[in-house]
Amino acid sequence: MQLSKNQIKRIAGLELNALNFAEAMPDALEGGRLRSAGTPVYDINGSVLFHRIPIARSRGRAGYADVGSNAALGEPLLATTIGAEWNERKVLKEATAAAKKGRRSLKFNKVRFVAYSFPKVAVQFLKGNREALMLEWKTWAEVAPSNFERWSLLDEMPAPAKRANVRKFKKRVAIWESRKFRRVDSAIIKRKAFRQRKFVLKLTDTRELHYSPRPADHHPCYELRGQQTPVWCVAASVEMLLNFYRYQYDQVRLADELDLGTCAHPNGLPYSQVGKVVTVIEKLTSKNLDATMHTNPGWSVFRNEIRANRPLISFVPGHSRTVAGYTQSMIHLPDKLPYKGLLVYDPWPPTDCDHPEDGGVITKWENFATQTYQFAYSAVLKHI
Amino acid sequence: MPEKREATEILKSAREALDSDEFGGFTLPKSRRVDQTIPVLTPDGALHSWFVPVTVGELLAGFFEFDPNGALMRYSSFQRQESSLQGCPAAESWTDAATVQRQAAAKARTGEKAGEAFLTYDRAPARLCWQVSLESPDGTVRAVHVAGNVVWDAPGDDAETFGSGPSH
Repeated sequence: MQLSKNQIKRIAGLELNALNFAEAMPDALEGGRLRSAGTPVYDINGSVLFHRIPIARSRGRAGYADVGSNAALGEPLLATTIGAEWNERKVLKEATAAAKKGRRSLKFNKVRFVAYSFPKVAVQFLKGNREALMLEWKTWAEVAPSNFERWSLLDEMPAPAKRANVRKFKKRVAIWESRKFRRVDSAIIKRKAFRQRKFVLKLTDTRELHYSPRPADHHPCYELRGQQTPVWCVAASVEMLLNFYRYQYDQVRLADELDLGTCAHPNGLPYSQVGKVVTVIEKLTSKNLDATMHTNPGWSVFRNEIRANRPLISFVPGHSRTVAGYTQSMIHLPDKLPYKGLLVYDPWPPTDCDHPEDGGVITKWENFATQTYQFAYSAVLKHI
Repeated sequence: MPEKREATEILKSAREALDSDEFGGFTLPKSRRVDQTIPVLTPDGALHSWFVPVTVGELLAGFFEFDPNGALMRYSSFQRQESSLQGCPAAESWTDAATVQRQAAAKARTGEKAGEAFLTYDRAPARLCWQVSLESPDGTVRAVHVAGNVVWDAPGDDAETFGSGPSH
């Protein structure tokens, strides 16, 4: 599925209007205008990935939005930048000057923008269909063909992820193309555009753990471990947290450290021993992880840790699990209750010590309003 | 016991949730189906929630849990990776009371007879499992919990730990 220029401009306007209506970027977008579908930015494999669309404002700071035209991206609105202008002609002029500097023999008949290492953008000079030169936007450093940073977002994306993204993207586009949104003037960003028409929008803030804090670069990075006896939920939870930081301790060893007995004679962690989780995490990581216990943790404890790309262990009455993501509604409409949910990697149901690969479930999402959170444990990797 | 009408309403809600993104967007093949609703009972026999299995062929891919008012509490998935069913348990081990009863009977002591199985939880409501009573020839009864292939003694009231602590 590839969108036309008209569709891109229109969907960009609707997405930005929705963002503005939700006050996700207070006053940064109000009054903005979209005059064109902007500049196509290509994947390294030659497909158009997204369009960079300038947002013009008579008052306040201008900006630009990156709007996906390729369904494999999963969502149309990729990024919104305020305070930096996007002027395609100016950028091309600068790029051409930089290209000719010291390369008088350079010959090209076509120039295009390429996300050579998404989301990094470069200007690609072509002679026919062959690349003559590629310069990174802003630094104007050459991105040589041998540069290890060159990679195709579309080619590298695993097929199941691509299929899921395409479905998500199509669903979103279908909403914007429905009859009720056709009447909205999408070229102007105005809060009242949505308010007057009483649209119900479902806008959510959702995060999951990744390999690094850059969600665009990697897929969710967290693994489920089942508890190997009916009472080793704490050991399994500690195992999941340590595995995220690449510490491989098996559950039998962790149970021993936590005084939870053996596979044949296991026991749970007494309520009076909750501090032991901190001690064991720090001991087994030679204090490279600085663990903290939070008593009666609120929503912000979970949200802030996940935003910092760190998993948590969560104790609820009689049970322990880990948290690897959250979702929350960003706008509260009269007919919809605000929703907050946690992505829970739950070691229950149990498995046994002969089948450590089994057991557990992933709960997506656990309604935050319906659970009692007694303790949470976070761990911060120490830096020099 | 919960009424049949309530179970039908819950089933309808689960089907709607499965067809939308409300359950977290796990990737399931088109052959997925919502199976019969099972009441989750408290240890006292009151209705705690509704368990609605989502199966693909003979495997249990996940389940919905609804509260008695019909509000969705969670969707929990046995899928370790999206679009893969590897590692998902056999559906009957969680949805068929007779299978659960046989599982408990296999771990019974000599002479013990297994009673009817019902879906409940192991102290904390998040820890769903089946409970089966085993009666010995001298009339003493003990309860065991069953979760898939794992069977263990139902914990006593005095165990206050994270792992087998009391529900608050």
